[in-house]
Amino acid sequence: MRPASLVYARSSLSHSADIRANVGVTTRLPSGEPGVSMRLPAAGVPDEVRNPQRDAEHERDCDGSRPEVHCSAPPLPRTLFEVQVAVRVSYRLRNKMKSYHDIVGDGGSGILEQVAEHRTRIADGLAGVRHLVAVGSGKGGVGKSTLTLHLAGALRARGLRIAILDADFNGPSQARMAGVQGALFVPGSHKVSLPRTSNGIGVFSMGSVIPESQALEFESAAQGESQTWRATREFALLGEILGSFEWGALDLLMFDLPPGAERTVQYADFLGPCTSFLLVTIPSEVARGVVARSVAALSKGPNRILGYVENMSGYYCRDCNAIKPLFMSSETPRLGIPCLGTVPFDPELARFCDGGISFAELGDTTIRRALDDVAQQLLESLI
Amino acid sequence: MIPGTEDGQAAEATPVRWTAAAEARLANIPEFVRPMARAGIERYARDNGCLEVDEKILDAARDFFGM
Repeated sequence: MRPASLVYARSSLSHSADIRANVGVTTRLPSGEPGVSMRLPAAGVPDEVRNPQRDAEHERDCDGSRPEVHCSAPPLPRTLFEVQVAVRVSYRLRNKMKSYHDIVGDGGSGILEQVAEHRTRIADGLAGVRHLVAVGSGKGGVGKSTLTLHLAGALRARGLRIAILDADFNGPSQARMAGVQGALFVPGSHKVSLPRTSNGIGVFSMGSVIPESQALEFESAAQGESQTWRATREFALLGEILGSFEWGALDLLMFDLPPGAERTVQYADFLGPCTSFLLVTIPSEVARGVVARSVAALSKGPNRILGYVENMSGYYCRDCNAIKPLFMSSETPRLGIPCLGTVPFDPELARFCDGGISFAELGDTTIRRALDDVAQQLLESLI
Repeated sequence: MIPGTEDGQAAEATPVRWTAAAEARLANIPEFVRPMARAGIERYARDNGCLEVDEKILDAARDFFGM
């Protein structure tokens, strides 16, 4: 329900020396429908609001609505603030609503205990994981998801135990690329089993349970607060996923982060200092600029930045068996962090991703060798 | 296919029962994705000719999906 526009008081009644009776205020919704209608007990109206000597008539329109005031007593509050105070006082008195100062401790919510329990659950869930690496960028469309999956594949080919958490809840792509679309979330006796690729990589992706034709919807109790609600709900869901799924003993858990420079920092805060970051860019000055901001932001915190990967460093032409420039910029990015390697764009890799074909199927190709090299650099950076 | 149905569409409307033990395990799934997980498991059960989800069905699903 949209909050009513609390507007003002307009009195058409004559003044009186004393407030002898209740004061009524009716608000109107922006649609014109009546909103809140209440009577303010004279005794409940603060002295600073009551002012029998003042002319209560004033008029300001808010969203085109006009208040109706039924006043059997004189002067009403003149300013919007006074009316709001009066209404709130009456509401609180009638509903015994606690104010901030009335709350003792956490008000009985146990919020600190809940947070502590939540964090304990996450820590228990990840107790068997040796390394946490978040693959981010700040810039969208640079190939974070593709690189996350295929670096995981390259490391898996080396015998490492790998899992991927597709943290892009609104635009999950790992389920399709990893071939786990339609995979079930099957509960065990305590935790939920993780869907796995054909080569044994555990993958959590909302894309496994939500068809691509549907959007992820976060229910909001109040309209107009969806942005705040979504961010809060996303991290709450992330925490539940980390605490509920069987991550097991892993050498590496990779987080495929959603796009957005602010997200990189938010995830750094949420995941904590034990999570390292691998950033992805492309040879575009625009992308490099955004990634540079991410580097600057992350550098203020305790998280380790392993380095960056320059994706789409060129275009691999199979006919020529050569890598040709894809972007005009040829300068080396100055990001101040190590470069773990470059990966050319190969349409064949895009076909593999669309079809959920694993890294192992790539064969001895230029793109596979590039991914292998980056994976090796990543591994060495973790040791 | 469930006996008695021609193309399985009628099967979609057939409710699938859950045993108490299976429901208890389902509660381990985060609430936000639980309805989707339930729907997927029920679909698996129907596809395998079962109208009741018990722990055996859940274990079979885990094995089927290589978990």
